[in-house]
Amino acid sequence: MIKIKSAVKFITSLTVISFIVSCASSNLKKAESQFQANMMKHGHNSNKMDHDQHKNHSNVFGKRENAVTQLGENGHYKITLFCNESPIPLGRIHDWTVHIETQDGKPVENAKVFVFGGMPMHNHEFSTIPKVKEYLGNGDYRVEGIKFNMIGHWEMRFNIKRGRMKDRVIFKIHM
Amino acid sequence: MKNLVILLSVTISLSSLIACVGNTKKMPNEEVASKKMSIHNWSEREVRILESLSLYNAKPKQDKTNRVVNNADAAKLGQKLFFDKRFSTDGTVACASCHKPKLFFTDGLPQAVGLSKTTRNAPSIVGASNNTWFFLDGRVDSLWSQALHPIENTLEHGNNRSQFAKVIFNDPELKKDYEKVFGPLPDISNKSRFPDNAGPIRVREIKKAWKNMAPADQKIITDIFVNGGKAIAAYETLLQPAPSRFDKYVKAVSNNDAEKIQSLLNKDEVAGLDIFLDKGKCFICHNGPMFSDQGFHNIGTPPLNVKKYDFGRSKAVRRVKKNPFNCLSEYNDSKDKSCDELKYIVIHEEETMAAFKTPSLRNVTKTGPYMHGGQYKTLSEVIKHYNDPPATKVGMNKLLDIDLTDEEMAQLEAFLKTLDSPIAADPSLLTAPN
Repeated sequence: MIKIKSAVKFITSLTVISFIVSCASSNLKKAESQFQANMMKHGHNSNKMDHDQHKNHSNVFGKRENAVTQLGENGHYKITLFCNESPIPLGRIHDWTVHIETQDGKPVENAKVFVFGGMPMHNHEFSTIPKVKEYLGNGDYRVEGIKFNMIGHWEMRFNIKRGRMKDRVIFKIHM
Repeated sequence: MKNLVILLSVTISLSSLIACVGNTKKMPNEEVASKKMSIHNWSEREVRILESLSLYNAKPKQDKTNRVVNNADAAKLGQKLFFDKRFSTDGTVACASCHKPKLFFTDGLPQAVGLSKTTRNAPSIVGASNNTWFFLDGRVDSLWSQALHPIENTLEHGNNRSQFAKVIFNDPELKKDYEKVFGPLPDISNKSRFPDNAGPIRVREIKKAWKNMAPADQKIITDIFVNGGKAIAAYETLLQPAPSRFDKYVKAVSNNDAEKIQSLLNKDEVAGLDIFLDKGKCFICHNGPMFSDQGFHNIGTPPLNVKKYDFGRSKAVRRVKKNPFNCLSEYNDSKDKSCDELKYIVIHEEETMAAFKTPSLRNVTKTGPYMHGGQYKTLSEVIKHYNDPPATKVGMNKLLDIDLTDEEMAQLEAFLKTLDSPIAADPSLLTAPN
């Protein structure tokens, strides 16, 4: 009985492994699909987006009217992000703006904001060290030193701290 | 019990299968499907990517830190300096010794040889003016400051800036050319104020002579030295790659010119291009019209010397920040001193350790041996490295897995050969001036 159980366990393991292997080749494409889904999900103006995601994704974050808003992981703040240029430049250092407000819409002033990010699928960080040093007023902060040196899936992550309130958010950007 | 476990096993297996099928169905890649109809039938996105690689759409970088970069007289002077061996300590080495026009401005050697053998491969300077960082580790941030470095490097020209200035000062023709661009040369004939050999280099007597000079006199010599570098950069900026068969193909694709599309690239070359963009993941770093993201990556290249690793970018970031000729220095001719690349430079060792600059792939067949130390003689060896990289000796190898067949590797190499092109410069620029 023990031998039969072991054999069955072995077959089950094999099945699971073969499933993982057989699906591995499609994982990258799957990640891309999920990524696109996230873009749709998080974009305020998703209804405006063209069916050809690849064609228009660079413009999704460009300028304030195309800003993308997400709720922080701890639910304290609503964070809106947009690039100060449109389309998003490739291979050149430029600035973004991050707007932070409370859930009921009050601008969050003088918070400590830390920005970092990179290309998770390639396991590397930004090719620059971006910074958030300047508070622009009305809950807006300048994100300086952003550079996308290659096309692909990027993440821009923010840690926000004001007093005891901490929040974090990850924006996904497809160049 | 036994039946239950078997049933469970079958259920898992079935659900796995369904999940897999489901995944496939969720990812209909219409672009790929449509491309199957014809090897030249690129999707709209792919056409956009192809156009981003084309020289026809390139915007040459303008170096604002060099006020004479577009000055024809400066380029003429620069060409003379580039080929002149008198700027080396024993009169045997010129810039052209390691950057030979016939070898697409490389030397064909694994490691460059000046006065002695160096530890790095000599990169081509054709199109180098479009770079953000210079040298394979990016230890300087302008083409003109790059040109100065080998002159004071003991392994290359082994010279010093005082001797450099004096060669120009004492040669009536060079002096005339210099003054035409930069104005009157100060009188540096007084040897007690301006020793024949002086400079801030690692040779004791020369360094001592430099320290004994008055700061104002040091400045006079350094100004001439820097101007010489800017003239060389003006010459080098004229050395650009001409459009290749690949660029013409992209133009034909953009114009939907069926006849040219068919004739410019063959089946294997198009398959290689597809691999370059997709399965081979080459495009991730080799992008833009020069096929370089201007970034630094550790790709696990075997070290030349296991007892003395080359740490590449991780050391260079400290050097470029301290470089007296960097963008933040007084020698930057631009009013804009924002110097963003230096301001936001990555210093983390996990990103920079043993990382080297992504080289251009234009005329890659003419610029071997390959990698920072010339580790590989042929392109096929390089492609094999990417396909099956050896265990990393230092830092973290950032290469992504690719799994190319022998046929695919051959197709990729076939595509790379389509990037061959002449140098888009007057033939008189490709030889030593009279």
